[in-house]
Amino acid sequence: MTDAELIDAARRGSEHAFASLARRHHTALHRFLLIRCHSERDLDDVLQETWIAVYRYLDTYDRTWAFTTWLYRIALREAGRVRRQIPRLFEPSTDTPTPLTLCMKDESRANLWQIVQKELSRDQATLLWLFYAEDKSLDDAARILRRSTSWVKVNLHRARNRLKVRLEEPSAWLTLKDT
Amino acid sequence: MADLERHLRADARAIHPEARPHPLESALRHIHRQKPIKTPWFAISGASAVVLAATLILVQSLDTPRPTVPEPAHTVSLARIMEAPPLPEPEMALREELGRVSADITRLQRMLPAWALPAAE
Repeated sequence: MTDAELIDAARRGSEHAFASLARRHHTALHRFLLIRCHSERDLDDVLQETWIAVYRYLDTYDRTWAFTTWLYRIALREAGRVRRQIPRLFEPSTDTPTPLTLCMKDESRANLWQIVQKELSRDQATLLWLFYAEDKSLDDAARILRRSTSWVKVNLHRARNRLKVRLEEPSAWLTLKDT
Repeated sequence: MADLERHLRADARAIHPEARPHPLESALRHIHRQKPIKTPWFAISGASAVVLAATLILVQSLDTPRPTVPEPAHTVSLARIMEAPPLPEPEMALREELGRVSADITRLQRMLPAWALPAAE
């Protein structure tokens, strides 16, 4: 079944269809949030809250959007909400490995996305992920981030440049491996 | 820049969330305890159906004429009260009372001596 068929069935009340839809996109959502969430607790909360929100607001889904565009937009909103709810006092220390680090299978070398997460703002890191890992268009990235397309263009350029400059420093990878 | 872009794509593929699984099933269980996504106007829950049926039965029972029961001797039925002559309206009663008072005053004035009456202008 296609996403649209599953959504229609879920809208009619089929829990099975909703579960199938969630299973289909859960891994992609998980990967997307690994870049955004810096703590395991945040990640788990946001994942759960996102699916609950998707279920609750499935009626409002506009099928002119790709389902993942809508899904990621909700996920970012939930990520912001969860982050606002948790006091900074209880945030994990910088020594605690991020969920992203825990998902690196190849431990022999650092992953570039760890540098992205460390060096760029959350929105810039998310934008790079959407553009390079998800192959989203600039317009879709703008919709997900609730920004203008020109903001997306400018920040994509800035993020790449900053990353390039950082990677030219010899300490970039070493610092990352130490952590 | 092309190297950087290729590197970003390759490293994205090296991220495996399966290494840190998130139990989707618990989220789904939580979701299924939520309210349904959409309730069409014609769809009513079981509790609402019971309340609606009870209301309909109650309304119907009020409309249905009750069987006639012999009237006890010591009570006054509503029908008998309705058959009784209407009571004088308050305005009429007041007017009659004023008329009586006015006649009494005239009678008293006739009984009084002339000097006790107020002087005519």
